[in-house]
Order: sequence, then C-alpha cells, then structure tokens
Amino acid sequence: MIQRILSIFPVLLTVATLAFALQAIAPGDPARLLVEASGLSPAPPEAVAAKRQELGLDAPVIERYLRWIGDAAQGDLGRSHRTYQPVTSMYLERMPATLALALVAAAISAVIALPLGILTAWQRGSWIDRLGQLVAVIGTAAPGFWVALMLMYVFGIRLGWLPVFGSLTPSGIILPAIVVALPNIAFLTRLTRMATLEVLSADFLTVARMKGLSEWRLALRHVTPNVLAEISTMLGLQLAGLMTGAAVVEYVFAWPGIGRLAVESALVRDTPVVVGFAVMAGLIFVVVNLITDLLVARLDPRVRSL
Amino acid sequence: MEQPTVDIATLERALPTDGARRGSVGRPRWLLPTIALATLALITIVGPMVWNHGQYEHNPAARLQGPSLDHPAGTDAFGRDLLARLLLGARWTLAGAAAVSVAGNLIGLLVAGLATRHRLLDSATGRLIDALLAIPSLVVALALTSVLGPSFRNLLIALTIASWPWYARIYRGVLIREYASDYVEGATVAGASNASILVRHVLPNVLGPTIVLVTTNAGSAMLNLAALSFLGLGAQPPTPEWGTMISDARVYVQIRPWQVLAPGLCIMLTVSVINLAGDALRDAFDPRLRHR
Repeated sequence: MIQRILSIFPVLLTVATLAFALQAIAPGDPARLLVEASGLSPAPPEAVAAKRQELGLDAPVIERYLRWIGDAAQGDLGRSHRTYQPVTSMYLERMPATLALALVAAAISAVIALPLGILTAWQRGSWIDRLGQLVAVIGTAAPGFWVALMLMYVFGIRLGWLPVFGSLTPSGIILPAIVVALPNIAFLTRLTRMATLEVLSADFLTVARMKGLSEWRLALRHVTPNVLAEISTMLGLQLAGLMTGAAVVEYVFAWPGIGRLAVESALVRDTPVVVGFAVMAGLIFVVVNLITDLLVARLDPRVRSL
Repeated sequence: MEQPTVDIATLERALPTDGARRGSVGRPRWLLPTIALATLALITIVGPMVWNHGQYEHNPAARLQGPSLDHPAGTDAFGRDLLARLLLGARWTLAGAAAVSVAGNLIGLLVAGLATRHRLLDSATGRLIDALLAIPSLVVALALTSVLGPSFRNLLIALTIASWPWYARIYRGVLIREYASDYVEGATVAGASNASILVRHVLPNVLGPTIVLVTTNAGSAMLNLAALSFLGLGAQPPTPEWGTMISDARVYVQIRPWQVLAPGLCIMLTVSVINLAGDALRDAFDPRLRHR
C-alpha cells in the first residue's frame, strides 16, 4: 500500500522534468514576456534585466532545473505570459467546472455502457449485440469537436431546446457532457462486454446455472458484481481521461474549465499555462489512479493484499 | 422433487468459442474491412485526379452554393468546389495519420528493442514512458504544437512524440516474449549471432503485431490530427485538411450546415473503416493482442 503511494512520485518527477524541457525550448524571452504581461509594454530593458535576475534565468541549466522542480513541488508553476496570473491558481479556479462536466459525463457513460455491455454479452450475436457494436464503432470514430458542433446546431439553433454554449446549469451541461461521454460509452461498452463474457464462462456461473437459478437472478446477483469488480479500475482511469481529454470539447462549448484555458493558451502560445496543463494532467492521472486502486483494494477482497 | 435443468444452448452461449472468427459462409472476416480500406486508399489516390475542380481558386460569384451538376457537393465560402476539397483533404488527413502511425511505431519499436537489451536503458525509458502515458496524447500534442508553432509539419512531429510511448510499451512485451521463446533459445544453442537472431527470428515474428498496431492506431492519430487542425494548431487554410475545413465552415453553420457535416462524416467514415480493418487484422493475424 505504502509502496503504491510512493510509486506516484517518480512519475510526477518525470512529468515535471518534461515540462521543464518544453519551457526551455519554447521561443521568446520569458523575462521580457512576463514584464510585458505585468503591464509594462514595451518592456524597459532594466525591468527585463531585473526580472531575469529574479527568475534566475542566467543561472546554469541544472540550477534552473532544481529551482523549477522545487517550485513545482510547492505548487508554483510560474506565471502566465499574458495575464501575469499564477498558473496554478488559474487552473484551480476552473477545476470545479471541469470536475462537474467529467462527473456528469461519467454518470451518463456508466448508465448507458454498463447495461449495454452486459446485455450485448448475454445476447451475443443478436441484434442488440450488433447495435452495441455500432455504438462502439461510431463512438470511437466520431471527432468530438464535430459532434459538438452538430449537436449545437440541431438542439441549440434549429430546435432551440438547449443553450448553444455550455454553462454550469442543468440544461447547459447536457450537450457538453454527452459529447465528452460518447467515446467513453463506446470504450466502456466494449470493456464491459469483454468482462461479462469472461464472467459468463466462469465455473461458479455454470454451477449457479445448474442449480436452476433464473437468468435474472444470475445477471443481478452473480454476473453484475463480478463485472463491476473487473472494470472498476478502468472506471477510475476513465474519470482522469474525462477531466483532461475534454479540452477541445470544452473549447467548442466555451465551457469554463481547465481544458478550454489550455487550448486558448496554446493558441496564443502562452507557454507556462500550456505546460502547466500537461503537469496538471499528469497529476490528475496519478492521483485519480491511486485513489481508484486504493478503493478497489478496499472493495474487492481478492486484491486486498496489494 | 424438481430436477435442475441444464439448457445446453444457454451453456454453449456462455462459453467462449472461436467460431466467431469466421463469417457464416466461411468468408474470412478480415476481407470486408480490408477491401473497404483499399477502396478508401484508391479514392484518396485517384479521386483528386478525376474530380479536379480548382480546390484552391476563389470564385466569389459561386459562394456557398447548394449541390448542383457543376458542384455535386456545393461550394464553400470562397466559391471552391467542396467535393474536390474533400477528395484532396483525404490525402492530407490520411497521409498525415499514416505518417504519424508509422513513425510512432518505428520509434516505439526501436526504443523497445534497445530497452529489452539493456537493463539500465529499460528502467530509464520505462520512467519516460510512464510519465508520457500519464498525460493524454492530445494534451502532449497540444503543448508541443504550441511550443513548436502551428504548422502541419510540427503537428505531425508533435503527434509522433505523443504516440510512440504507447507502441514502445506494447513492443516491449512482444519482444520480451519472443526472446524468451523456445526457437530463440534453440537458435542461440545452435550458435546463431545476436544480429542473425534479431533479423531472422525475432523481427519476422514482430511484423504481424506491427501491421496490426499501425492500422489500429492510425484512427486515433487521425482524430487527434483533425482536432488540432480544427483548433488552428495544424494544417493552415487554405489547405483542405478535414479538420481545418470544419473550422472554416463553422461560421456558416446556420446557413450551410452541410459544409460542417460533410468533412466530419468523412472523418467518421474513414476512422471507422480504419478501426474495423485494424480489429479484423488483429483477430486474423495476431489473436494474442486481442486482450491487450
């Protein structure tokens, strides 16, 4: 358990190192950009020189690297080259919107994909199995930003049922959440189907069936809990992906989340903010994963020895 | 007393069989998707030659037209023939995705090959791969295109860098398994050199998974490519890349929704065909990868 918790640090260190390398190869003088961002434009040379001194930009690479790692460990990822705001607080401000979107999308995917996955495995080869496969194919192949535009057109402009741009309201979250959930539904349906097929061929199920239990009882009492145990690790992984992988969809819907901030910063080449997003994504991934592993270990006695 | 009944058909359905691999008439299941993929490639090569209608020439008199005999798919905001641009766009999108997938696979294979030979290199690349896999590939590519500057070439570089760790991880497993196999042990005992074992025994066995992986992942490469081009971080107008075309037409969605619909349908159809072909090839040639 302790080992599992400690194992996240090498990953985070490498992510921070990659982020440092990215900033090092980015064009433009960070000192001048920062002085300009703080409101002095064009930047006076002495202010730039002072900023260089303050940031330690003239120090050897190794010293700058250690400084960056030390700052990052304390949650300081530098300041935006555009707004001069601290990167970390920019992301923290937008985190609730992204978390809300990811949770709603996760709920939508689970509600659709779990029954569909179990049903398609149960009725292997039937029309519902084919329908499930069609959903999986379309869900993985449709570009999210395009689905977003099309849904905005149909439900926002033509029918006028839902707001075109996302907002933190029950009606404003529906369209973005559906788009974010779509590839997830496809993936989760396939995964659930595979896990169910595996459970269906297990010995205990044959025994249960021979005891003459009804199909419904088999499905609810014997199959579903085992399938859930199989895929629960993946559900956690998916949540991390939903939070950071939705950047383009957030941007299209003007959703006030971390992904939209990252895309907008990438478009104006605000390097510290863009690089900060990569660090945040890595952090979200390892933390969500860790929590999932610990939860699964608690819930599933077979892996408790972890 | 009631006897427990065992329905043989239900039991059979519960057991996994390999019978699903072939279609009902004995036609191999990889045939159809592969034909579809070949047709797609053919359209990409021949299409722009047959329907060459001035993909770049502006014609203000023919702006945003509906379908007609001259322009079967209508025209865009600059009066350019949409069908001609869609056909040419297939080249950009498909060639770009193929380039990313091939380059990413080669780098992944190379890194995995080096990692399986040296313990120190293995732990170093393992760390790097763990870190890169912790970040979604779209996020890695987003950061890289922002730093490198927006252009189609830089987007391909960024997507390649974002994709190789996935391949490296898979190839590492494949290579370790191959090197541990009986026939490599046999060749070693027979006195074969390292190079000859690699070229004559290991690489031929890695070829199957490679073809499968290149196909399977070209689809996701294409989606990322289109997404970043849509944002303006890849192909630049007037290049008829499908993602760029959607971005161009976005403003006119209210009067000409078809202009946004068409390139997206092209992406969806192409990615579907590639994914299905990848799945079919995997089932046919490398069932070991199925439970990846």
